[in-house]
Formats: sequence, C-alpha cells, structure tokens
Amino acid sequence: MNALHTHQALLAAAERRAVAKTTRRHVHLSPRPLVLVGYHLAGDLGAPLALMWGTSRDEEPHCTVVPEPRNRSLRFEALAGFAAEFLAYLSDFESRDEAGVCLDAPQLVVPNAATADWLGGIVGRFTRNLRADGDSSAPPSVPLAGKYLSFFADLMPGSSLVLAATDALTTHWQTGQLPSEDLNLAALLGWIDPPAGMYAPQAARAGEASPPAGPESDPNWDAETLAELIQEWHAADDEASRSAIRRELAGEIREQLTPAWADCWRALDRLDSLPAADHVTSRWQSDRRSWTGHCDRVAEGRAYFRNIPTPVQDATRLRILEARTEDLQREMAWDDPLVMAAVVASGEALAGRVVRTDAQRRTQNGNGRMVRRPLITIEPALEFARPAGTTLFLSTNPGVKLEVLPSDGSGLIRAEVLRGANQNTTIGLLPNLGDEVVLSPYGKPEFYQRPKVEYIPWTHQQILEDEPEESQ
Amino acid sequence: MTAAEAAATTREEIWATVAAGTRSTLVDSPPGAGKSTLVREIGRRAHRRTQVPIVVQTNDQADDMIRGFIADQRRGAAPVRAGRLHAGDYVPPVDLRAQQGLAFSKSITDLHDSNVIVATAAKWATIGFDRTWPFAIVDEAYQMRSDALLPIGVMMESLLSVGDPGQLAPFTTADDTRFRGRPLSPMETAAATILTTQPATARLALPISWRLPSHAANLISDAFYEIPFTAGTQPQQRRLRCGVTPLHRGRTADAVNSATRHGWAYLELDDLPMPQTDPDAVGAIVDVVKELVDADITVEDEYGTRGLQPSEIAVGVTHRDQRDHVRTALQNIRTRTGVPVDQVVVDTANVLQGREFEIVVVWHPLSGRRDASQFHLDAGRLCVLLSRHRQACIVVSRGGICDQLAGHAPTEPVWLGETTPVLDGWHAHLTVLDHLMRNAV
Repeated sequence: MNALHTHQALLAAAERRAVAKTTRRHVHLSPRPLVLVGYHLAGDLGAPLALMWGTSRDEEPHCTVVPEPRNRSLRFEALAGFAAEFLAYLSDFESRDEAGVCLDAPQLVVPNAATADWLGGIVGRFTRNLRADGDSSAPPSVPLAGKYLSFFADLMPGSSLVLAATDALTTHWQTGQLPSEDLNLAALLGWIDPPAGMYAPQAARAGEASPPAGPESDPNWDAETLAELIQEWHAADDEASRSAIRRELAGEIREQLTPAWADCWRALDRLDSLPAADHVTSRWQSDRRSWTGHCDRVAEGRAYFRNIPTPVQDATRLRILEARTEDLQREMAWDDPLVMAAVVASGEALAGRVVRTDAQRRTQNGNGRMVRRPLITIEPALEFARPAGTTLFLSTNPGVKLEVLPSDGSGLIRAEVLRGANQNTTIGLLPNLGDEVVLSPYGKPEFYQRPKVEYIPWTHQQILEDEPEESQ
Repeated sequence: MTAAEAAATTREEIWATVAAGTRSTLVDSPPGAGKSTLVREIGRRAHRRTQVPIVVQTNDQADDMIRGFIADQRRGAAPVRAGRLHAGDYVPPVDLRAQQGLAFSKSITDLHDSNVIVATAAKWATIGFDRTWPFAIVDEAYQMRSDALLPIGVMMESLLSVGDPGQLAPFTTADDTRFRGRPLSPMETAAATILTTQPATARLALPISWRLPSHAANLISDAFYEIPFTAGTQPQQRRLRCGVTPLHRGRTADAVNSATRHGWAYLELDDLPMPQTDPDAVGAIVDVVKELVDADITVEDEYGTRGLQPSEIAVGVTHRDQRDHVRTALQNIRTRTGVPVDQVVVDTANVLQGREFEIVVVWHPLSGRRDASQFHLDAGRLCVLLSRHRQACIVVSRGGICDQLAGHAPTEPVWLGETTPVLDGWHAHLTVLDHLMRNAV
C-alpha cells in the first residue's frame, strides 16, 4: 500500500471520518443515469430474483420480481419487463453529432462491482443468444437487452459507462476500515456521508444492519420470507391468489432493495460535490465513441460476443487494457495534486522548490556534439532517493523530460532538461526560480503504429482432437 | 564422456532436429547452460541456407547476442554478417558502434544482406507482415508472452525456441482476471503456447550448467527444476581469494568470508515487518557490496586468474523502488569515498534474467514482509536471483521467513482451466532457506 494512503487510512480511523484521497472527481456523472439494483436466487447466479431501476430519485423506482426464479418462462417474462424499459432508456442516446458520434452515452449506476459483473457477465451472457422462436422461446427484447448488458460488461479502466458506487467512492475517499468492509455500500457511505451527529464507525455499523445491496440477498430474509412466499406460490391454485403473492413478494423485495437504490443516489451526490477533473471529458468522449460503435454493431446485426475470444482478439485487448490502465493512472495524477502527492510519498515523484536555474547550459551529448541542456536545481520537500539517470517529467507540462544528475552531496537535486524546454521556442516552459514544482514519472504516452495480425498463425491454432470433420 | 562432450552431443542432436525441418523445436535450458551459445551456433549453421531472424526479449539481450557473435569470430568462428534491427530511439552501445560486419538499422529493408538479424519481439511486431522466413530462433521463450509470439508466428514458418523454464513468468500491469484460465491466454509463456498448439514439438534439454559452480548447481537443480542438471566445472576449478584481510571484524566481513570460502552466505537481520524499501536492508546490502569491492578479490576459474571488477558484482532485488534506493546509496558512497561501488549492477529479478555475474548479492523477496504473497513467493523470482552467479551468492534478509512461509496460506484463487505450475513456490523457498541457514553468519 502507498505510504500516503496508509497515512490517510490511519487518520480516518483516528478521527472517525473518511479522508479525501482526491481533490477532484475522476469519473463522469451523467445528468440522467440509470440506477439499477437487483438480487439473484442464493447460489444460482443465473436465476434473477428481482431487479429495481429508475432514472430519477424522486420517482418511485420500477421493480420486477420472479415469483419462482427457477422457472424459465417466469424468468423471461420478468426480464422482458425490464428489457422493454432498459431499451427505452438506451434509445434516448441515439442522436449523433455531425461526425457520427452519439451526442451522449447512457450510464448505469450499480451499488457494487459484484452487481455490475453479475448483470453484464452473467445475465448478459445467458440472455444475449436466446432464441425468440421455437420451444421455450424468450421475448425478442430479452436477447437484445442481453447484447446491451454484454456491452456494459466489457469496459476499459477509466470508463464511466458503468459506475459501481463502492468503487467510485473508494477511488475518492479513504475510510478507516478494511478494504473488504468497503465493499458494503451502506457501511462505506456511513464513513463518507454519516448522518449529522454520528461518527463514521457508528454510521458504518448502522449501515451494515441494513439489507444487502445485492446481488446476494440476506440469507435470513431468504429463509424467513422468500422461501415461504415461493412455497405459497406453488401451493396457490388460481390466478388471483398467485397475483396476490406476486404483489406481496414485490412489496417485500422493495423493502430489501430500496436502501441500496437510495444509497446509489447518495453516492452520486457525494461524487457530484467534487469538481470534475480535466481528463474526465476526454475519457467520456472515448466512452461515447465505444457506445456509438456498439450501436452500429447492433443496427447492422453484428453485435456478437465470443465466450472465448481468439488469441488475436485477446492480444489486442490486453494491449489496449495495459495502455488504458497506465493512461488512467497518469491522467489522475496530472489532474489532481492529492493523487500526485501519493506518487511523491511513494518516492517515485519529486516535489520541491526551484532554487537555481541555468537556461543557457550546454553540454556534450553521446555523439560529442554540444547541445543545450538547461539545468534546474530543486530543494526537495520530501527525501528523494532515486539514483542519477532517473528520467522524470514536469507534472504541469509532461512534454518536458528531465534526467536526474549525480548528487553533489548537498541534499539538493539537480535535473537537466533532455527535451521539451531546450529550444528558444520552448524555453519558456522551464520552471522559474522559486517555483514549487513536481517532477513525476508520467510522460506523454507514446503511440506505436503496429501492423494488424489478420489471421491466427500456426503457433496459435489449437487442433482439438474432438473437432468434427469438416463438412462439405 | 566429459561434460563438454555431453553438451556437444546435445547440440548436435538439436541441430539434427532443426536441420530435419522440424516445425517446432523447444530446448529447455537450466541457468548458464550455454543457451546463447546454442542460439548463435544454430544461427551460424542455418544461415548457409537462408537468412535467420533471431527474436530476443530485451534490447540488452539483443546487444549481448551481437557481442557473442563478435566474440565467436575472435575465437575463430566463420564470420557472419549480423544485423541489429532496432527501434527509432535506440542508441547502439559504444563498444558495438565501430564493429566490422555489423549493421544497425530501424528498417528491415536495410538488412537484406545480413546473415542473421537480431531484434526484440516488440520490434519484430512492427515490420509489417508481407515477408516470411522459413526458420527463426526465439530466445528466452519462457520469458516471452504468448501475445508477442503472434506476429512471429505470422512471419516465421518454423521455430527453434530456447528458454529457461525456471525463470520468471511474463506479467502484465493490467487486471488480467479475464484472461486467466483461458486456452491460449495471452498471459501464457510463448513456450507453453507452442507446446499446446504443436503437440509434435521436439523437446530437448541442455544437461549442464557452465555458469553455476558445483555447490550451487545441485541446490538450484533440486529446488527449481523438473529435469535435473549438473555443473560443468569441478569444485576445485572455481575459487575466490581475498587480497585484503579486513582489520575490522563484523557480520559483513563474515558474510564476505563465508561467500569466498563456501560460495554462499546468509546475512539475517532482525525479524521486523518493514516497508518495501527497508533502510536497514539497503544499508546491509551496501555494506556487503563495499566490503566486496574493498577486499581486492581475485577470481580463479577454468579461464585463469584475474582481479574481480565491480561490474562483475550484481545486486538482485524484487521491486524497482528497492533497486532505486540501493543504486542511490551506492552512488552516495561513490561521491563520498571515491570507491567505484556504483559500477556494481543493481536490478530487479525481471531485468537480471539471462545475465551472469561472478558474485551476486540478493535481497530476499520475502524480507521484512508480513505475508507471503504469490508475487513474492514466485519460485521463478527466487530462482533467477540465486542462479546469476559463477562464484558466490550472498543473501540478505530480515528474519522470520520460515514463520511467514508456515503462517500464510495461499491467497491466489484457483483458476479453472489453468495448468498448475510444476514448481511449488512454498517448497522451493523452504529448500533454499534450509540451505541458507547452514551458511548463516
């Protein structure tokens, strides 16, 4: 764990309040998110029990329940109810700008990452290829909604198309409890947003007492309430008593899910209280582009999802994933002094005051030519124990690349500019005497154009013994 | 049969397999078993038929490969025109710039008349796939990720892959959950991939480690390798002698003494949980290094007798910030005392893979930790750190490693569909620790 985050966790525990880890908000917040909570049957991820959703906190949320979650037709009937409204919500984001990119993209807000994984990974996966004809068919809206859910399952770091409230909150605040305890949204909000007059640990304990935010339900409630209602459903012999049981179940479920639904909105409020970081817009733009791409694939009937991607697809995906992971880290540090402070605390970045500059310095390079290498001398705010030769970048201007020179034993750090501020046109970017600067390990990302591997080469073609003979 | 003859027989076998046109050949090699020598020899023999691409993993490895070709020629091998294909921002090392028969270029078209072309896998991936080669050699196939093998497979029609199965597996900085347990996951090693897709792969092993001295070969072979190997040298062939007997006594001096006499030393600090960049461990390592440089050590081996250079000493660590702290401390000593301790190579296990030194000082991966995480338990990491030396190895650690190993159950989830590693990190660590305790100072 990072030294600053450890300090913040101890501080939070000592002061009995959550401590800010950021000064700005690093996720995009949609003006019209779809908040979505749900349960599945205990031990059966493929059997949704209930979903609750809505786009406004002032409205009564919609709710659909499956009175017997193991019954496929009842399951599809309930999912069709959700699918219709889900697709209606998504259809609001179809209009495009002149470049053909959707003007805005939808945003799903769920209480935790487990719910996001369940909806996208499990519900999306088992519904996206359902047949709408033949025996035990599903309504056509269900597989279509499954394709959209699958899209939301397959997101990159830095995407805000799906916000898992616990993840978004722990990115921005540090609690004084264990990371595993932070997975409980109600307890986490107890730390971050305690009711007036209550200390955070107390509010967190109160939060733990509320019904779970899903996708797993409370086993006691399962035993005492759910099992009984399902039994009654089976025992009922006419439609009227079945609808009565369904209504009763819906009422019970609402009671269980409403706290999590309300907590999602509370989480959004807390996040909204922070000003958006600079790179949030560009990341959302990339979200809009991937949303547009998905809409195009759906429209052209090409929205396929492989259960097992090919080696070529996996390799491409891993490369993008690695790049996006680094981009997010970098952008958050550039945008937010408190995030950068953690990098300084870890010793990777150097913070300090410029005590000397030599903009005209010239020195011999590897080829024996004299080149301009301006020098700045920094009095470090924290001990900086990186060796000579370490390359760093000016945090306010990551195009400026510097190299740490051998220490002269004075405790001051000398760094020469390798590029970005060594020409007459760029020398203005050199920090001035007395400036407080941060030199970080984050430079501008480099782009490599690579030829695309078009087919799977012999080294990656697995010959399976049980593969059927090629058909004529 | 002598060790040298046994090794030569294996090399002939490998050449026969390649020359027979086998599509995929995999050679397992223990540390310092002449893997690079093999690659160069096969390259030199195969180029008579066609140009041979050689795929390595890092620029350092590529430069070392080129140096090997030059050294071979000096020893009388038939000259080959070696091409070094590189990225745009690469600067050739000073010692290679003026060499004859060597071509450097960032474009493959400039190297059409080279007999062998050496480049990193990352560079090979950029050259466009309109050309193919009938045969290529992949070095460090256990260090190479499966996704890096994709473009190689597109361009090369048959492959000789060479690697050390005891090395560190490839890794990613991204969340790799979605790739785990998949058939042909991009996180697999290139060697594992080719074994899966080409069950007919010819598998051979080099039997003898030329690098490790006999007292280390047995331990490393027992603790880390499925196919056992032995040392190529006799115990009396390798020796270290101190030119200066230190006036001050202490554990640092004892560690250097034990290392010069027995080839091993274990310096244990107080049992304390500490941050990753434990300043006492840095201090202890730096003291050992300074003692080694000050002791005016003479190296005796099968090539003769010579003085130990600081650049023949390495410090192996686990994390980059540990590396930076040790480097800074050594630079400070250089500034203060003028002793050239900053020429000692300090790097992480990942970077030290495939390199060789006379003496290696190891910062134990579990030192000062409170838990034994998968990353730190990785048998490959410990194996790399303990198998870089030709003469002696000094391990520095906080105490309590035995308790860590005993007290922490595995935390990694079991990934369905993933083959379990042949090597158990726990067992390897205990075997090594047991051995180290006998050399504690």
